[in-house]
Order: sequence, then C-alpha cells, then structure tokens
Amino acid sequence: MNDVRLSSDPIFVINSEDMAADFPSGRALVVRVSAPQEIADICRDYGGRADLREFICVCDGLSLEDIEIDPAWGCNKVTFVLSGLGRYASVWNKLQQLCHTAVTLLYTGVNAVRDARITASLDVDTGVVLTPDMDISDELIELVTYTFYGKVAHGDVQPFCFLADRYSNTTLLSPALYYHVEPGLYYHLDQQRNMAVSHDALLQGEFVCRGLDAIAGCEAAVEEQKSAWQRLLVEKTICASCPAFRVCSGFFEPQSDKGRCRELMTELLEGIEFRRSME
Amino acid sequence: MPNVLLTQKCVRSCPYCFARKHMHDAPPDDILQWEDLIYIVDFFKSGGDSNISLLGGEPLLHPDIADYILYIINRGMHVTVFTSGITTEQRLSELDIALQYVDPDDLSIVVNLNDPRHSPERENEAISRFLTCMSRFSCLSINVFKLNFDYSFALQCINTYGLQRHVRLGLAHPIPGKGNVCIPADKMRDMAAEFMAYLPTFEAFGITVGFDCGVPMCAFTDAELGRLYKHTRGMINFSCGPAVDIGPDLMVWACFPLGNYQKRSLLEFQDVQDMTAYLNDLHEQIRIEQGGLYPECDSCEARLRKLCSGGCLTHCLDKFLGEAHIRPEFLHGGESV
Repeated sequence: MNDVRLSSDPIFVINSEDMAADFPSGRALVVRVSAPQEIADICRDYGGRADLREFICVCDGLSLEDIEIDPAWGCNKVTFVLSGLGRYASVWNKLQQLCHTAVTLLYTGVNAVRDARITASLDVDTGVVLTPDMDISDELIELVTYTFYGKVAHGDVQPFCFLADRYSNTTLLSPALYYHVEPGLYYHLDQQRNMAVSHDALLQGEFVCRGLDAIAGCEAAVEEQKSAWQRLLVEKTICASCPAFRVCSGFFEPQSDKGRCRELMTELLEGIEFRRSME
Repeated sequence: MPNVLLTQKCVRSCPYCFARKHMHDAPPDDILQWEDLIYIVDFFKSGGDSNISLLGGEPLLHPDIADYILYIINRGMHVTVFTSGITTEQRLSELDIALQYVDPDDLSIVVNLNDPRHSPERENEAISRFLTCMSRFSCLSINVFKLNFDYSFALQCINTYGLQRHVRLGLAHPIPGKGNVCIPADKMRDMAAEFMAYLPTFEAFGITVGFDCGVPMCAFTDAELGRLYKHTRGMINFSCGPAVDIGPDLMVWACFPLGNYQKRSLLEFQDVQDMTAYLNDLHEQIRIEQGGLYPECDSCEARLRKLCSGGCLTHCLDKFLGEAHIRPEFLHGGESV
C-alpha cells in the first residue's frame, strides 16, 4: 500500500495501540489503526518525531458510508480496507471530497470489483484486496483491463498500478509487495517488539527477531523469506512455466492448477507493458 | 447526446408508443449494470459529450436510478431523465432524498404526460406525487398522436405544479409494419395548423414549445415558420438524425423506430466518431432510397439545403415493408444484419 521508496531503511508496520511514547524517534512507520478517528491524534502526537509513511485502517464490515472524512488527515497517505462503497447516494459527496487526496479505498466485499471501478472512475485511488486463494472472476480480470486500457483518465487501481510503477525487466514483483510484505524492508511488529515479515506471520507467531535493534541479526531469516519464490522453480511447479511469474512470484500458487491466476496476471503483465510502451 | 435505456420494461402502454416493439422483445430482467454505465460514460466523455439522457422503458423502475443520476453528475455531465413519472411512493421518497442537493442546472427531468382525462386515476395520482416532489427539475413532454389534439392539459399541469415553462412536443411516428396510432404523412399539415391555432394560448401563459425530431418543415406555411422562429428565438429545427439509443445490453441503434435495423454493440466502436459515422451511414442508406415522407422530398430545396430532413424516416421504412423486395434486404425485413 506504500508506493514510496525513499531509502532502504526498514519501515515498521505497527498497530496504533502498540505504539508507545518511548518508541525510538526518526523511524519510518506504517500505522494500522482500528478507527479513522485515531489518525488525526497520531499525526498530532507522533508527527514531529516519526516518519509517518502511511495509515492503514481496516474497517471490517464497514463501508465508505460509515466513514467520516476528516480534513485533519491532510496529505497523509491513508488506506482504508472496507467491505464496499455502500449506497452510492450516501457517499457521492464523500467521493468528491476524496478526489486529489492521498486516500486509497480498498474493497473486500462481494461487490469489491464493481465498487473499485466506480471509485476509480471518479478519480479516487482504489483497489481490491487480493488473496492467494480468492476466486478470480471475469470481472476482476476486466478490472485489470480497465486499469490499463480505460478510455479516460481515472484513479489508480491497486495493486495493479503499484506493480506497474515498480515493474522493470530485472525485478521480480508480487501483489504481496503492495500489502507490505517485502522482507528486508517492512517489519511487522507487535507490542513486545516481536517482528515478522507480514501481518499474518505476526499473528501466527512466525517471528524473525525481537527488538528494533535485533534487525541486523535476522538477516538469514529475512534472506530465506526473500528467496522463497525459488522453491517454485526448483520444484517445477505450474508457476515455474507461467509467463506472468515476474509480476506474481507465485502469489497465487495455491490455486495455480485452476489457471485463472495465469489469465489475471498475464492480463496484468500485458497491461503493464502496454502502459510502458505508451510512455 | 446518447439515450441510455436503464430498463426496457415500462409501466404504461401508450397507443402511440414507438418503442413498444422494442419493449416487447426485451428480456424482462434486462437492466443496465454499473460496469456498463461506467463504460458508457467513459465512451462519451472521451468523445467530448457533456450530456447523457436516461430513459426506458420506465427508468424509475431501475433500482439504482438515483445512484446513476448522481454518478453521472459526479462525472461532470448533465443528466436528462425521460420518465412517465409513475413510480412507487417508496422509490419517489428515495429519489427525493438522494437528489435534495442536486443543482437543477445538472439535472433535467422530462415528464412524458398523457391527457389525464383519458388516463387511469392511479396513474394520475402517481404522476401528481412525482410532479409535486420533482417540480424544480421537471418540464413536460407531450406526444401528439391524433388530430383534434387537446393541448390544454399541459397548461393546467404546468401551472398546477409550477413546472418549467417549456413543453417538448413529440409527434407519434409509425413503427414499421406495426400500425400503431400516429399522425400519417398526409395529415401533417392539419396537425401543424391545429398546433399553430393553439400556440397563442401557450404564449399567453409564457410557455415555449420545442419540437422533437421528425417534423417536416413543409407542414407549416412560411408565415407560420416565421412565427415559430420568433417563438423559439430561432431554436427550431426539422431534423431527423441518429439519436443514439443504447440498450441495457449495450446494443446501439439509431432511434427507437429503427431499433431493429442493424443494431451493433457499443463495444464494437472505437470511439464516438466511429459510432456516429456508422449510424449516419445507416440513415443515409435509407434516405438514398427515399428522401423523406413525400415524393417531393427527393428534390426539395429545403432538404437539399439541410433545413429539413424530410420528416421521420420510419414513414419511409413503413412504406418499404409493403413493397416488393427491390431495396437492400435489411430495409424490408427490419432485422439486424
């Protein structure tokens, strides 16, 4: 969700309730908040001594209808994970407010793809949350088509635009990167300062180290995570022969036998290359 | 300006309806989806259009009508809704709440009104509710489908509900081969004379009248044309060109009466220019066969100078259907090619 790469310094992903006054200053942070009201408070309390890269607000079961837009967020990058847009008639003025802000709306509900398309068409950055075992619908593939071949300019659709921005012939990408799963760059940590390479790994207790100063000592564990994709080639899995592997890295491996992920990611790869050809 | 059909279902069965055949053939659950609306808006916005019309069937039947209106306005386009005004109290209430902050400059509602004296009381009650609620956006449209047409109900309605002081006047045209109620070509002059006799009454109430497409210029005398020129401040035309109707399935046709003639999907067109060229060419193919309503249209100076299109094309198509098959096949069958 963070497309800013200012340095190779580690970026810590932390829940707002796990932040403490003694947190070392000057660190780059992605803060997960449980309610949007917290964002302004954190900006006020930590803005001067932390590098607040992004806020992520996961609003389970809520739609944009339930969110109040706060001007105090300013130009801070804020990503909402919402079930959907809600009733359009209730959110149309909010969508107008969100144009030209640094807010991104990610959807997870049954109408996620439709809602992302509506949102993007109104020039608001948006996207869907991809998961390795999700059902890949025709509509999702069409969303990729819309992202790269739409007839008029529109808001970014994530994680597709993020991957397009990071794409080069020499890098290996994955949708997971957009969700802050990038070993060596992002460290997800809890109140006890246990660190993991992803939020899920943190919840499951799969730590790579403990304490902010221990990062240097966990290189081996991080390297192992970084090169996990190599297993897919060594074991000659379906992913190994997929033309879109360079933008997927096996993210959809659990469902690779169905072939739908190949359709999706190939459409994405072609879209990225089309965009590059137009630049 | 594209006409987008939100649904092909209707709540009325007007005797003059030129869309009846189209409505009858449509699948009942066929309604415009969000993704397709976005595609349509993108398509026309990229071509520089700034207006979209929503119609049906009855567009108020679409469950997302209010959302669609707001969305198109959000996209920076003006919306015109063509409706009978007949809807449930619940839908009207939803619409009223949703549109409460909409600027009347962004939305026009054209209410197609039949003479209440010949309409069921329940329809009249529903229309009354609608006009009371939506008067700030609304103007009237009436369809002249017979001679001895009484225009007075329009005056009464405008004054009762405080509607915009403009009436859109449509002429009922034939659906090729269906024999619907309409003004036949040889009665156009009589219709025009009746209308001109009533025009001073409209003017006395400060109401302007504008013609919909397909009225032949020669239905009016030169003196009447001068009067109409002054009445409309020169904004009068006698054209019949592709209106661009788009169904809920994204099929495109030139206008309702031509709804069965060589429809194509919007997805097949590269851009608005490509689509317009195709529809213009279809019109042209018919005009080559017969210039207009009357044999004189072929050599009429007004038509050659593009002051008049020669009336509605469907009069020509209606005639072709009864002939031996001497013309391009699609003009006889009316089916898509």
